[in-house]
Order: sequence, then C-alpha cells, then structure tokens
Amino acid sequence: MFAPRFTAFPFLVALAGCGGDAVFEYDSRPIELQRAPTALGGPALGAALARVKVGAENPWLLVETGSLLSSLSRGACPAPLAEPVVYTGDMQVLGASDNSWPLRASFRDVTLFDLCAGAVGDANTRVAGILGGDILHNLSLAFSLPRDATPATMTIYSSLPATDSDLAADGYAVIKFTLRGNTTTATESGSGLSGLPASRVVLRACGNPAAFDPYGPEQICKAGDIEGQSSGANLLLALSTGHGPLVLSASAWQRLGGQIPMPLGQGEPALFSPLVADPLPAHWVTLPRLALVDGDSGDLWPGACAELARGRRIEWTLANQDSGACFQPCDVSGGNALPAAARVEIGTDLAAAIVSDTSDLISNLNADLPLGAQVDGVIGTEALAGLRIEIDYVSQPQGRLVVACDAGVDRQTCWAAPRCLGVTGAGQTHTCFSLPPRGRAPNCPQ
Amino acid sequence: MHQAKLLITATLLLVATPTWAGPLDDPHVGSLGFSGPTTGDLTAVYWNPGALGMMQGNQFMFGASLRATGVTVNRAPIDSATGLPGGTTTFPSASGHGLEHPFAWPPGSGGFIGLGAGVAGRFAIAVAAYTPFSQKLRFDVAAGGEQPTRYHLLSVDSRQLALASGLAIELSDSLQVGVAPGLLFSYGRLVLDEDTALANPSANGPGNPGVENDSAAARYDLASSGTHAPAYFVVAGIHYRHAAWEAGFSYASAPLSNGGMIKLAMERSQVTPPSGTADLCSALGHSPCVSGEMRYRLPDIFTAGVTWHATRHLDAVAFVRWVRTSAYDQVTIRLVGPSSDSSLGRNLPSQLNLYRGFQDSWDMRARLVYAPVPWFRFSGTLRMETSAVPEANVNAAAVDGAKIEPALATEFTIGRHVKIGGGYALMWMFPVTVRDSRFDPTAASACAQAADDLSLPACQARLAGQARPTAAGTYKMMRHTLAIITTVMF
Repeated sequence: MFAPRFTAFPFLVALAGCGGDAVFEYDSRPIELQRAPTALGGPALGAALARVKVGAENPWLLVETGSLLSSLSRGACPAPLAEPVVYTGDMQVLGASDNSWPLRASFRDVTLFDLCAGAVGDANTRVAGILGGDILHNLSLAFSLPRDATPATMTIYSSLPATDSDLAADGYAVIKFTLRGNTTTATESGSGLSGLPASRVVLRACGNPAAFDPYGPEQICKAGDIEGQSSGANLLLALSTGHGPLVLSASAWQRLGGQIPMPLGQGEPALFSPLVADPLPAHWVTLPRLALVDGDSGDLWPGACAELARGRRIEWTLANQDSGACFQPCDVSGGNALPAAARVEIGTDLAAAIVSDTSDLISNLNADLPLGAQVDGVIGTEALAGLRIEIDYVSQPQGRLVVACDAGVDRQTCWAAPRCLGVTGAGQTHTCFSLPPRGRAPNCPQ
Repeated sequence: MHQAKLLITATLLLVATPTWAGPLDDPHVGSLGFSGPTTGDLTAVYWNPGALGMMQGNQFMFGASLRATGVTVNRAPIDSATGLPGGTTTFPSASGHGLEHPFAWPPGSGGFIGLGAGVAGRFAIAVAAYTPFSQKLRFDVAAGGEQPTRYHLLSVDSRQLALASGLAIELSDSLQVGVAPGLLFSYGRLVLDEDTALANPSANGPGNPGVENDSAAARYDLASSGTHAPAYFVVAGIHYRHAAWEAGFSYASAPLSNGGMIKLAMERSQVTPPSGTADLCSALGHSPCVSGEMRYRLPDIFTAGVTWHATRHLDAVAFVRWVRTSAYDQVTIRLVGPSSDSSLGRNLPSQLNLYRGFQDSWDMRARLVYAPVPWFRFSGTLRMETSAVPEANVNAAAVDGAKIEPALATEFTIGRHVKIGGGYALMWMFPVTVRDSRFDPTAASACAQAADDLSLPACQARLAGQARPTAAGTYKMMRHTLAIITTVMF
C-alpha cells in the first residue's frame, strides 16, 4: 500500500508508464510465481508474487494487472516523503521458487514510483514493489493458476498472434476488453505529472447465474424476451492478479440478493488490497458461481446475464439436436440463430469480500468511468484458480482475455466456451461447446 | 582521353569483387544480363526508379526465371553426450534442393511483370510486380533415414512479392529522379525439429543416450495459408548521364511498417511431439490446430553503378550493392496450441528464437554488353559476392559464403515492338567449413540447470536462438539460373 498522504487521493497518481527508451528482456518461458494467502489464514491461492532485485536483497514483487503504475521502493518504509517520487529505473524480476531466484525478466529504464507498497492478502505478506499495468500493457501475459500445489506461472510474450476464430477453433474462450484507467490526476501538490496509460482490464460478468445442465430441462424464450429469461446480476469487474478473492461492492452484493451486515465487516478479517493504503473492512461471503461473458456495452447488447442465458440455450439446442431440439425465437434473427458469445463459467462457492461502495478501492476503480457506469469490484486469482489465461494487451482494436480450463476440471468448476457461430446453409456444420460437428438446427415456431 | 576511360572501366571491372545473393536475395530481378541501376526500362522500378525517366514510349515487360539450387552439408562428428563437435557420432551427407519459378500460388520467385509509359517527355510512370527476396530449399532424407540438418532446417519456402508503382521526373536533359513506393506481400513455410531433450540430455535413458536423439525430436511444420497483410516500402533513385557516361544511385528501404518487421501469420502450422506422445490435435478432431506468427527483418539496399558507352556497339557496366543484411539477425516464432493440450508452452517451446546473425554484404558485378547489329545484343557478366553469413553462423537454414557467378545473356529485337531476351548464370559458392559454430547445444542444459537465469551467458545464448545443436561442418552450394524476358513497346 502506498504512503498515506499519497493514497488519500482516491484518483491517485498519474505519470508516464514507460520512458521512450525502455528496454524489456524476457525469454517467453514460464516464470514461477508464488501466491499470497487469499486472506488471513486463507489458502495460498491469492496474489501473484515474484521476487525483485533490490541491491543485495530479493524481496517480494507483486504482479498486479489492476494497478495503473509500477513501483519499487528505494529506501526505508514507510517512506518519509509526503508524496511519491518518480524515477527512471530498472525492475529485475526474479523467479520465486523457494531456493533460487534466477533473473527471469528485466524492464530497464522504466518509470517507477518510489512507494512503500504494503501487505497483500494478509498483514504478513509485504511486497517491495508492484509490476503494474503501465509496463504490462505493452505485452501479452499468460498465467497458469492451478488449484493445487503446482506452482503458478507467468509467461511473457510480445503478442498473441492467433486470430479470434483460430483461438475459438482451438477451444479458447476469447473475451475482448477495452483498457480503463486513463485518469488524469496529480499528486497532492499538483506537481503536474502526466497521465498513466489506460491499462486496467475490465470485464463483463454475470454474478450468481442459475446452475446449467446442457441435458437438463428446456428453457422457453419468446421473441424479444431475452432479458426476462436470464438469471443472475450483471457485473463489471476489474481483472486483478494482485488480489486473491473476488471483491464486490456492497451495492453489487445487494443486487445479487445478499445482505450487508452493519457495520460492514465488524468482527471479520480485513481485506488487504494492493490498490489502497489501509486494510478495508470486508464482509466475507461465497458466491455460487460467476460467468465472464464476451460482449460490449453497445445499446443493443442485452447484458452479460442475458447473453449468458442465450449461450446456454444455444448450447442446449445443439446438445439435444438429435432429439429434435430447436432454437428459441428470442435467439433467432432473420431466420438464423444468433451467435453464442464466448463465456467462462467458474464456480463453485467462490470466496468474495464485500466492501463499501465508498471505499477507496471502489472509488479508485471507477475514477475514469462515465457517469452511470460502475465497476463493481475485482476478480482475483483465487477466483481464477484452475484456469489458464492470457491477457493480450496489445491486440488491436481491443485487448483480449483468452481463457482455457485446466485439464480434468469438472464443468461446474470451470467451463470455457468459445464463441459459437450459427450455420446458415443446409450443408454446413459447426463445432461448438465440445460437441461433435452439428448441422443446422431448426428454429422453434414463434 | 579514350585510354583514361578504358583504364577507369577496367579498374571498375577488376575491383568488382563478390556480389551478394545470399540466402534471401534475388540478384537477378528483371533480367539476368542487362538490368542494373542505369538501365532505362521497367526493371528500373526495382533497380533505380530514376532511370525510369529514360524509358521511351509505352512498355510491357514479362520475365521469368528458373532457379535451381543445390546445397550439400557434411556435418562434423559430435560427442553424443554433449552434442559438441569432436566426438565419434558421425552423420551422412545431407543434400538440399530448391527449384524456384514464378508459376505458383502464391506467386513464386523469379518473376517480373511491369507496365509503364513515358508522359509528355518529362515523366515516366510504371507499375511492376517482382520478388526481391525469397528462399526455397528442402533437404532430402539421407542414408539410413537420417536427417542431419533437422534441428536447423528441413525445408523452407519464403517469398516476398513486391507490388510497386514508379514515377520518374526529368529535371534536366541529364538528370532524372524517381521514386517507387510499394507493398510487400509475404508467404512462408518452415519445417524444422526441436530437440526437446537438449536441456536435459541424460533424460533420454540408457537405451538412447545423448543429444540429437530421434525419440526426443519434436517437429515444427509452420506455414501461412497465403499472402497476408502487406508491409510497405519505398525505392528512390537518381540517374545522371553525360556524354558517353551514365550513373545511377538508388536506395530501397526495408519494410517501413511494423517497426521494420515482417509479421507473417502461420495459421496452418502443425507441431508433432516426440514419438510416443499424443498428437496435439488429437483431442480436437481437426488439424492443423496450431497457429502463430513469424517475425523477421529484411535488409535495405543501396545500389550504385555506372555505364560507359565505349563505342556504338560496346557498353561497359559496373555496379555495386550494399545490402544491409545485418538486420536479419533472428527469426522469432510464437505458437498457440489447442486449449485441450497444454504441452505447447510446457513441454514444447511455444516460442522459437532462431538465430541468424547475418552481416552486411557487398555485391559488385561487372558486365560487357556488345551489340553488333541494332536488333541483337549479348552480354557477359561476372558477379561475385561476399558472404551475408559469418562463418560461425552458417547453418543449414543460412548457407552462404563467398560466391562467384558468371552469366551470359542475349536479346533479340523483333520488328519495332518486341524484344525477347534470355540468359543463364551459374553461381558457385566457395565451400565453407564451420569449425567454431555459434550454435552451442550445451547452452540449453546450462541454462536449464541455472533455472533459466537470464543473467548467465548460456541463457543469453538461448534467448538469442543459439542454444541449438551445433552446425559445425562443411557447406557447399551451387545454383543454376535460366531466365527469359519479353518486352513489348507500343
């Protein structure tokens, strides 16, 4: 966490991400990471930790996709300065295995904040620096986040060259995103720092949708009734490898049907977030399941939960096509089935920390959003356990989150479904939802 | 005065030491025996757009070359435990062949087609398509089923098709300038093996110990499905003539987009793991199931030359090209495999860095063109070249050395509108013996044992693409080129 006067400003800092002459060196092989506890006494499935070289020491370095800036403290902590000092320096990232700390990547001549980062996960896990989005957004980062004791890894690539359709054909769910966080702010003295690049990955999600079985009962949906047939609540979540649990605002939790005890978090462990200075009071709950859904915020987009429901109905139809299943009227346009958006369903009983809507964390996440939009929280690495993800920041015109489930994980725990395009011709087939190739299914009567 | 000119020309011819053709470059764009930086025909779009200003009337030009390359690799024996040269493990001789011609899709190398016109006596415009860079080579399976070059190259087919438009302006009676911006369309296929046991040779077990073990070889067959989004480039030049002399100078840029990189989508790629393990595509039910991207740089080229019209019937030509091939230092390939199989990136590298380590090279050639009658001429060219690849960096994918290439060409004019020409060249490379190969197989294991520590020289070598089986051995290359070209003037 940052020095108090600095972080008292909810909109934090701003500054160039990388100098013009920054040099990155990495070998695109897995870098072993360790995981912070998710909370006090929680499992070590939390924030992604590497080591960093600081003089003769090798303290922890937090890899945090949710942070707009990178920092590395050069002196004693807590820092005596009232506001952060910015400098051009090197960040030498070391592997985090127990008995050796090999140099695995170096980011030279990058802009760094001389900040005292704080504890992550619990009070005992303190980090000396943060590898943040201002550096990471130049890259494509692959994370493997196993559920078991297998070490997590991060692999750095310059890009992810495959097209969306190739990735879908190979079984990956591709979820596109637009980077957020390009807030123009200043330090307390208004010292005129320039803006940090937008680097925060914000995803559309459906919280707590109903359970789904592709061979379960049929869902009927009349034309134009798509939103009425969905379940769960639409959420907007920032992807954060610096958090363990799912973190939700109180209002989001209430939309999901949850109760908020007053005062919030009394008698419960605090949330140690790398994005704010002080531990946050938190109410700890579990969320049965969560779905990340590809889509945009255009006027015609029905929302993550409605899109999820449509994808499930289309999957149900294809799974039961041999039994005469047909596409529901609400999923048909111009005589053809609409595409099913890529989705990732994760469960079960995800740990979640509920924090106040007015907390620094929620305010910070919403600093650059237009009026009316709301980032409801963050999705951390514990919620992503069992997944292999690649955050392709450099793809144009939008970034991409490419997701696959670990082998052997059951469907209720992880299900990554690529976008499924319908077939329009009688002789065409398509392969979706890990089903055998299917021909064109009929449309249900209106 | 006449003797002085002869002396200058003779000097130019004598200093015309080796030219570059290298593993990438087509040294005979347009025609084999007449084109150059002072030639006022449609091939000037490539050689020197300034010379387009000398073009008379309207022209259409079509040319095609048949290029047959033969390469022989005799690898030095290695120590089977370390992979280093000097042991008792021997290899049979490997032969590679490449036959290039333009009649293919995507268009092959060696073709030229152009259309142009002189406008108002002061301008000339033209469009042309040609292949400035290409490489095609396939190594046969050697005796006993061995493939000694497998870890550097089994086959390659790389083509860069240029589509350029040229404009020349006559600034004065003796001075023309020209520019030819263009698009470069790329196609590529590359097949090679990866020694998955190189990082831990002892893992092969007592039955198959050591490095370069067939049972640990994964095959990477990487291919694009055709020409993709083009890069853009520009050629600019100046042409000067005075009395019996002509001089030309031009600059052809490397690709100007993507930071100078060619980025080639390789969406028809296949990766076959070492024998005994499941195919990457088996769970998906469709193949290929690996996509990726290949990145590399291409050189920019400076060209300068003079022509002396010694008599009414005899021209003496000399020109030089400085090909900045040092830009071609590495080929980087990123691959993405199916979601159901995570072995790509875990057990098999998902990124290949192939070291090339080229150096700049110089291309100088001397030519005499004799026209005994107005409707017939022939030429003799001596072309020699310095190597674009330092000896230590030579491998099966980058065979190059000092070369010499004599060429003969002839051209007939039929009526007033048609010219037909043809030529033949034989290129011979002085054999190259690599004793101290840049490729160090022990770097892979040294780096792995150090937990991939990038501060170590071994890991830097691996990062550069040098941690591969040694390429020590003797390399020989010969190339035959047969070319025809037709020009229609109207």
